[in-house]
Amino acid sequence: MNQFDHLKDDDSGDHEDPVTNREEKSDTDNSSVNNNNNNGRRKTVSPGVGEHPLQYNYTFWYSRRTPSRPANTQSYEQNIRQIGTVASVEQFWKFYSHLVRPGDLTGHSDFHLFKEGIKPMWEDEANKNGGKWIIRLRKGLASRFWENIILAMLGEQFMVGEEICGVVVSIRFQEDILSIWNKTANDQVTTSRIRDTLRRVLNLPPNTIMEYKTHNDSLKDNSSFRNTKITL
Amino acid sequence: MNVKGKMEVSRRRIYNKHLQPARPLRRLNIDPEPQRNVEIETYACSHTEDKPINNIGVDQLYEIIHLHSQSHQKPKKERISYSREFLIKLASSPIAKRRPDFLPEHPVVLEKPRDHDGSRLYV
Repeated sequence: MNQFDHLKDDDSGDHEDPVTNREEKSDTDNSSVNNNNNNGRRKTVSPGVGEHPLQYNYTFWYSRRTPSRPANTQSYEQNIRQIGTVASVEQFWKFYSHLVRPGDLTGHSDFHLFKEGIKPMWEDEANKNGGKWIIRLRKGLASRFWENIILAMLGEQFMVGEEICGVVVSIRFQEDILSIWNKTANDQVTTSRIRDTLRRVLNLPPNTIMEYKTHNDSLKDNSSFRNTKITL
Repeated sequence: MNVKGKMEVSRRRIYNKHLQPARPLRRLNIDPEPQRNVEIETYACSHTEDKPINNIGVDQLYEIIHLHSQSHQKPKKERISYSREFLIKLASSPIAKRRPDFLPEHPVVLEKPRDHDGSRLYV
């Protein structure tokens, strides 16, 4: 994956690699993503002259499940690809406008936009005590909702300090799913504020079902969207 | 570099400044209005960074750098927030359509930018 080589320097995280154990276990695993966090020095992405800086840098990721493979963490990590990291509003639009709209994707695939340094994985240091809100969307709504949740995150509309980790849009067979990940699953003030902000920025109807699932529960049942806690 | 040591040195030098007349005073004495000098003198002593730029010594330079690094830390506490409307407005700027310098070849990556269709579809 030579075309990703230049991204490795740009996009690896500040955190200690949370998948080190996994890497040690698998000696055949040479995916580009696994190598991403191995170097300590990296060029940081910064806003260009005259651009509007973002509060945080964000990295675009894309993943697609290979139908033949079981959905374990290792194959997930091999299937997830970094697209690029942005530091300003202008840089964000550059990438965003060069990416397929999520609603035009087919198959079992996900776009992720996470703070630079946080992998969109339950095991990441920033995610291991966290969880996510889930909103299930009927087909046809994913592109609009994806854009609105991204803009709310980039624009710092959630007002929960450092708590937001990233957002995901998941294209599935009969529905699409929007998720927003935060750091501390048991911080109820934070999770309810995120929920209320979501209702507002996505303009959700009052009867929309919102589900919360901790990443710890996801690790236990190896599933992103089953066995969630439902609130109305 | 020992930052703490450097800060102590610069603080000591600021202290010394108050004990002896500041260098710019000699220049200020040229001023035809002697009464104003008193005000300027205290002003110059308490705000060393406001001294004329051509009188900056090494110690003052350290002070300025120190003040600068402080002032750069402050904005980080304030969140950079943008409204949806403002962000969407920037989507139509020419720079937002430019291809990123590093874009991997990938099925989800487009050759040409798609238009931002927010206003058309999402109102």
